[in-house]
Amino acid sequence: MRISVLLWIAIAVSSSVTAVTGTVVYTTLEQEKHAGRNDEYADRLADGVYHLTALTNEYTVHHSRRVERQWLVRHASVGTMISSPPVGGFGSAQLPQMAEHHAKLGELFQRVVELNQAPPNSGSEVQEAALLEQLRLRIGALAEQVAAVSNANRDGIREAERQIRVASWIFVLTSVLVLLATFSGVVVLVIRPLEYLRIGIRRFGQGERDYRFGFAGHSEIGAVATAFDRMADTLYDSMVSRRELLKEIDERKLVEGQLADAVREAELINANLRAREEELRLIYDASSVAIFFVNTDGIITHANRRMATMFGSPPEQLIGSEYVAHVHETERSEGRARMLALLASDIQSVDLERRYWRGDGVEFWGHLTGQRMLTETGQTLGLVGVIEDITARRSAEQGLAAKTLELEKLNRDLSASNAELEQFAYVASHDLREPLRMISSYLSLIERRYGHHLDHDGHIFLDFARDGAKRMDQLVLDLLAFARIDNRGDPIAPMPIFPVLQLALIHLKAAIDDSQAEVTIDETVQAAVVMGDPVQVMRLCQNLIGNALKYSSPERPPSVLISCRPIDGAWEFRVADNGIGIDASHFDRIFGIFQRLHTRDQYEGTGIGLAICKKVVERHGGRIWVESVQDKGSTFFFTLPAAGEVGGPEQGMPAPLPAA
Amino acid sequence: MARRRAASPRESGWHWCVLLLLALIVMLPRQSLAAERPLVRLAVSLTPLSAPVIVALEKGYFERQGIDARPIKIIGGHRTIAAMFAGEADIATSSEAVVMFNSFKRDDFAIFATFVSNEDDVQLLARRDSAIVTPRDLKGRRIGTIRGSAAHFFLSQILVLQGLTPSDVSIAYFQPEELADALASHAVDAVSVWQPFGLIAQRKMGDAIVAIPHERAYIETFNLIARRDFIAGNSKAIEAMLRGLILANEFIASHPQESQELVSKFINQEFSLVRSLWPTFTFEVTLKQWLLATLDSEARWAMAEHLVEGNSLPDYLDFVSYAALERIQPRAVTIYR
Repeated sequence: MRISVLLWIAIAVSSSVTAVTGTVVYTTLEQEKHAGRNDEYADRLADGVYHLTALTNEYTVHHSRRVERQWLVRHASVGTMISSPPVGGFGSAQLPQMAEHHAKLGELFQRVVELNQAPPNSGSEVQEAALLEQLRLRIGALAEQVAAVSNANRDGIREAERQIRVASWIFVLTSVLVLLATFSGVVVLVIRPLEYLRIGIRRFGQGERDYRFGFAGHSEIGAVATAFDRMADTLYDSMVSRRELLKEIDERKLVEGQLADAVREAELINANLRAREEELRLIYDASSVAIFFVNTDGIITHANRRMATMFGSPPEQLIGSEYVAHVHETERSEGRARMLALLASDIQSVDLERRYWRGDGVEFWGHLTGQRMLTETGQTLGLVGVIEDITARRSAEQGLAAKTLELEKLNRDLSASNAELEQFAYVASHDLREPLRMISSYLSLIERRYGHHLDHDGHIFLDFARDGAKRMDQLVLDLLAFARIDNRGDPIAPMPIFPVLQLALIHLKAAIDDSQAEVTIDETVQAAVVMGDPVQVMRLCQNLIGNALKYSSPERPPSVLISCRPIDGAWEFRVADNGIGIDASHFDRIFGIFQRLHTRDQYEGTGIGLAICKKVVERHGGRIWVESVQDKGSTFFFTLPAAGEVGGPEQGMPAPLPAA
Repeated sequence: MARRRAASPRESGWHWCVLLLLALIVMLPRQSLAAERPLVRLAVSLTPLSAPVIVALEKGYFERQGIDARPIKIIGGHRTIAAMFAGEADIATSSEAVVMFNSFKRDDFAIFATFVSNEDDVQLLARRDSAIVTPRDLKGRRIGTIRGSAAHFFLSQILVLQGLTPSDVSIAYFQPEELADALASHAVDAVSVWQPFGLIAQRKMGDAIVAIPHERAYIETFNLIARRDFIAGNSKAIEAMLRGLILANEFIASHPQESQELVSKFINQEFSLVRSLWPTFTFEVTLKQWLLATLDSEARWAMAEHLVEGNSLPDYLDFVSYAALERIQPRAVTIYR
């Protein structure tokens, strides 16, 4: 069923029910209105009867003129009501009797009034009493009639009310039924199909393109579903065509993109090639060596500017000439043979030095490298040759050889001289110590035998002399040690430095204890293995630490820190102290032999310690220097070659130490 | 906070025009009404029973109904009706007893509305030491009252209801204000007196006197009375006055305290006195059938007591004019017709 038909039926049924019920209710209400009007009429009649009763009673007592007048007026108004009842009222059957009673009442009251107005006689009171009795009886009868009318009206009102109730119930029940039927129809024809439609549309919208409603009834919603199916079909077809079209477009776009990429790539390659060609041309022209090409006939086909310069001929003269024509005639045949062998692939390349002729007839040396040029198929196109002018180098090499020979001779002479000098120094030192020992011995003998003949100054002079001999001996010993460093040392070999340092500290233990110094060997030192002479390295360390202890500040206890770090295939060691420091102007001087910054009264020593240190370090191929701030302290640096690979800080080695 | 929008000059001018027009609409009819408003001189008896008339005057209800009511304050209903007969007033407020007495003298006036009734206005007071407890104990006693007044009528009705005749008691007549002293001086044993003289006597003597409970043998009414020719010639003014009274009774019902204050101030009586009397009043604009019966009874008593000259009962239907009240409030008229 169509929804509009359902709605029309519902409207028609509702209208019919409303019309019928409304008619019934209207009719009943009209009846009730009439009944109400009649009831009011009956009430007014009852009031009138009551008033007549009261006035009659009052008149019975007082016979006053006012009561008489009121009785007559009220009787007349009651008569008017009886003669003009409301239209359609109930109790119309009583009206004739009421009218009769009313008329009779008037007659009776008139007779009572007349009796009162007449002169009194003996029977008038009895007559009046009888008349009044009749009057009251009639009033009672009228009252009963009025009550009957009133009751009939009330019955009519009750009946009308009952009809209204029945009509109302019928209206309510019918309305409920119509509503239920309409609601059921709406549920079946509207709500459920709409939900079905909503679910279907949602599924279609979620991508279920094949979803169709099929036949969904003859209602408007069924028509909507059918229209939706058609629309979905059309949409599906459109989407398939569109998808294929889009796919083709995509493919074309892809091909176009690939083509464009290929074109761009080709353009790039061409550009690169051109750039490469230009680069090569520039290199070819700007090359410091002569570059030339020779065809299979041995004729120069290309020659760069440098070749023209090198051979002293313009390129156009070179191009077209035979290559071997430019080779020195002593090597020309060998050069031709080698060129032919290269062209014939008997040899792969040439790399040799030979002499050439310049255009102006001057010969020069050239370093020739030559190679075959092949096509893609392996055919020999010719040769490419590169000639470097090595005339200057050849001359230098010849001069150097002469110099080397000269130096070798000098070296031999120097070694002999050094050996002699060392021998001299050793002998001199050794021989010098003998007279010194004699002087000391005889000075001791003089003191022992003739000491009591000497006065105080004499003893002092003896002490000075003996002390001088002693220092002389020490100087000779130091000189001896200094001289031995280069020639009497042990071989240089890999050695860990930590044990050597510990040994040096053992030797210095008395000085360390005396000065209450704090000497610290950084753990970085434990990893250091150097190429060295253990005895000399120990002496090096002992001298440096000993200096640090000796030149300590009186204001603070000495503190010495020994550390190291790897640096360029070597180990750099630091001996840092908090001593008196050194003025920067003395940094170079202190490493000189017998150089002292202080008097012997201030600090003992011969002034050869740092010179020995320098000589030891230099023997090991290292370097020694100092950084210092006066009254703050000094740091002595020296380097020794590392034994084997030296790891950097990133390999777990300590970080570089800050400068002292 | 809402910000009041400033009116533009154009809007402001438009508003002024509307206000002026409204003022003209409101003012013009009033001015014309004031010009045409009929003058009604009202002789008002200065008793709380005149409360509806006083409230209507004070609240402007008569003016609102289109009449220019001007009160003439007079003590005693017999004087208000006298002023009316003398042409000093157009309408008088008075009890029905005054109407009854005057009905024997002239018949050119009528009651056109009762606006208050009171079953307890007249009291029977007795000295406590007189041993008078019920009305039956009045036999053989000296009783004071005001001759020819409602109190006198009330006393006669009490005696009748107790089966006594005037000869069974000794009645002495005084002015209202003398009765308290008469009781105090033992000149009488009991008095029959209307308010507020009963309350004044009770205040004066305190516990020495008691109010004797009775059977409410008399319903006093206070009425609007006018000459017939005035009623016939001023029906609109009469109706306006009735409407004003109806409004006043509605105000009294809703604002009793304010009404009492207005009345107290108007009659120059203590507020507490007015307030104590107030509950005995029934404020209602009517014309009841029993008013005619009451007038008949009072007239017959007056003739029997020779308080009036004449021996024929007046027809009091001629002394009641119910047409105006019937027009504006038909149910208020219960006179048989």
